[in-house]
Amino acid sequence: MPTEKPYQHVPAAPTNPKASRSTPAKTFDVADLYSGPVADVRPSADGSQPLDEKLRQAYFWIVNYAIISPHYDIEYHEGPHQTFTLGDLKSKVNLPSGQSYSSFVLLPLLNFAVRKRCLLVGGPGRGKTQSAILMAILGGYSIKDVKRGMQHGQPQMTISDLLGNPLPADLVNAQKMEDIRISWRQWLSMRVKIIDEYNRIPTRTQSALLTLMADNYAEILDHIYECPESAWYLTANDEVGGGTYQVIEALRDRIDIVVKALSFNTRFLPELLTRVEENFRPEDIVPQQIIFTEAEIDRMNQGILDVEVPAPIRRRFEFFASQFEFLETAADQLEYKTKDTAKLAGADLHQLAMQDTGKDKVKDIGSQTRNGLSVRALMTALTFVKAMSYFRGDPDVDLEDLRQIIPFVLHDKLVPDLDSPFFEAPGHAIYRTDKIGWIRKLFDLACAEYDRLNLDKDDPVAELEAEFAKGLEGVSEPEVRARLTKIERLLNDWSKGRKFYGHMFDDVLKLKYLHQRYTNYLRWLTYK
Amino acid sequence: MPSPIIGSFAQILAENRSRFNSKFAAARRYDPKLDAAAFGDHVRSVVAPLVEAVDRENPATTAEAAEALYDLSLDLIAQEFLGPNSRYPYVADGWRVLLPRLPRFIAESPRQFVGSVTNALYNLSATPGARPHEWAASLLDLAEICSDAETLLKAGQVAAWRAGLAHFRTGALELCQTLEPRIARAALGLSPTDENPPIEAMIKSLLADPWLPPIYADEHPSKDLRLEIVARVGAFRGFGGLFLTPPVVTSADGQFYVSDGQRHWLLTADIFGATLHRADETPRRRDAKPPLPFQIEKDGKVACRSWTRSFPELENFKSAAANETTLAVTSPLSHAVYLIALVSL
Repeated sequence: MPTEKPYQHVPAAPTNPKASRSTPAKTFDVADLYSGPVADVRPSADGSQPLDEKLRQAYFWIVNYAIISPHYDIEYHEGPHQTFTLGDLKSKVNLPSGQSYSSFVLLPLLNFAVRKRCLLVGGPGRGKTQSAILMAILGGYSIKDVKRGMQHGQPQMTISDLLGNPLPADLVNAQKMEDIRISWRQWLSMRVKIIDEYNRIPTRTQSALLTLMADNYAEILDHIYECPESAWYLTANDEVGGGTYQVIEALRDRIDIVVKALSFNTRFLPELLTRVEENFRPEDIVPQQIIFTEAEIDRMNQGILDVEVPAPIRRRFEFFASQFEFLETAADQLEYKTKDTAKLAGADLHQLAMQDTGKDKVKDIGSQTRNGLSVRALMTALTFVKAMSYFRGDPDVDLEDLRQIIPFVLHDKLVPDLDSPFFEAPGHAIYRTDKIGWIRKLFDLACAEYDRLNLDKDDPVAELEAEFAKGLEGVSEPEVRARLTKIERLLNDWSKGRKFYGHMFDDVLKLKYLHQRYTNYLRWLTYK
Repeated sequence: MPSPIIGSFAQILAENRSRFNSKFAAARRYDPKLDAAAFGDHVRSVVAPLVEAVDRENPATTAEAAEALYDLSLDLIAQEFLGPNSRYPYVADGWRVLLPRLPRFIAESPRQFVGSVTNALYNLSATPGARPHEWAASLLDLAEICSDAETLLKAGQVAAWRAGLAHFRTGALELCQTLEPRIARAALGLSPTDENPPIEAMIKSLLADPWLPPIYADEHPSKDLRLEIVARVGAFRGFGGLFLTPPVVTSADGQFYVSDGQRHWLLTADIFGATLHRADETPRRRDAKPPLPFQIEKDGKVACRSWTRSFPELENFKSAAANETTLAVTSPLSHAVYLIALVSL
């Protein structure tokens, strides 16, 4: 933590010089007259400030002044870095050689930028609510508005408490439902929504919250209130649903990213002492220049969506994601050989998974989970990965962005099969409790397998996809037949192998899809 | 004894007492030198009159202005730009003298406007040879005819060029083309009410000749010209300059580079001043000698087209370089760079 920086000093741009989007001035710019000790008053060419820079300034202001979170658990390296091991269990400590970040601050901030749903979990008094409040203030709300708008989960919370009430006079006088006016709760209109201790909300009220979170509208007596695009922050003391009420699965599934409040480092007790003595409240002193307007958030969101995912990175993500859904023993027909089939049938998934299919259960990445990844989970992962690259000022996603973000996005999406032989392997027991580490390990294993299969250079399915993506217009009959033969030959080659892994499942289905498209086209060609 | 804070500002401070105290406490945490008494004095003697002026101008913006001025003060006093330890007297003067006369513009956008003026005064103060007091006076004149803060700040950029920031010359002249002609004229130091010649023609003339005063920019090229030493730039480091040894000057792409053997600078100069900017190195590619109009002989005789003149101080010159409008010469006996140009008599 800094010791010399003055109050409200928003870190000067560029905060990540290597990654800065703005090219350094090659000629003198008269606008530089207004650059100086007061930050962020210099006008830019289009009157706007680069928002990735503003986002980074917000991050550094929070870690420097607001939240004592000296953890750099999102590690980036630029070149070689030092690693040390401590203790009998060889606990590793990496000294990152690149700009690294605290997940507890960075991920809520990325959630703010992409307007998704973030769950902050951890023991009481670790700054979860504080972090959520700061995000709302970055969204331009006053402390009063934030406190008024924050919903506190409690066992007596009703749907009316959450959404609003019909006006009593209208209830008496109305002749029809449309005549009943609803007094909607103010917080519904906010662009940053905070639900404190969401696992203390009664199940029935959770259902109303689900509609709100999932579909972004509230409903009372046939009246609909459309909410604006919002960033959500939910807090819970216990991530496994140990609150007053069990969190319904559909609601948990709507959480896009899970952030853990890490423990307080006692070496920073003097900081805490000063705060106590001086009654210091960071939310009181958020600098104006890191507060985002609605238009800026919209613009930032668009900027994030514009970040490119290069094909080789996308392929690695596809390969990783393809590992989990496949369950060879779940069905007879290929398309149904999924964990979802087994789950819907109420079968013992672990028993089915352990049936001998000739695969090495430790090496088969798919055997470590009880489920696959939903479309929503994949979309969320891509959004947050783009946000991470945007935050770092990169126009394209790189592999490390993916590696760092995936564990937090898939935290509640991938359910480990703790009985899997993987967790029995030496050194792997630790992953039973460390879900972030486990998912990162899964990704590393998938990448290693991807490299072993040399898929960057030799990916016949990708070649067939590329060929197909050029369109069928003008493709001759002999060419179609040749392509069909190519697909059949590839499947024939694969059928000689004895093991059928998750990534092959998606590849085989893709080949079947291509085969069917070519077959239909061939039928049309011959008819014509 | 300073007068107590009264009126709206006193009320704002009272209503937000804990927050303002919290801000001060946070500032002092990171800068233990921050003196409560000095800060209090600054709030009373500098911030309060500013807030009162804004309150008289537009009471609806008083609270926002108070907040912005308080925050900026904390930041700037902590960095010793304001307060008793200020290293930049023109910045402190700007807060005491200039800003209280511009409440209309502060009310419009407190942080943006006060921050911009502060930064401009800082840049002018930090540039050797620049004239912050002249800029402040220009800004007050321009405030009379500018309708809003954005326009005033743009006009202020042009005024800054005229106050000695020669490196802003091209940008300032381009900016003039985006301003209303009367404001552009005023920013150039001319009468805003004149209509001839058109501003575009004036800017074209000024862009072509860095030694042409704006007041002559409406005249046809004069035949009554004379070669003059238009500027002496730089000095020995021991006397507050930049150069350790008599420098060497070169040119590349029409720009002058100066080196004292250890360090290198880019030199920009025009009728309003000259500035030196650190460069990584002197570019290797030099401008081809002809067809530049200047020539200098060992006896210090300078020729430009049909004009010639001898300069005794340039006898046995050490180095010379030229562009279309200026000859730069250094002498083994001086730490200055001499700039020679054709100017109207």
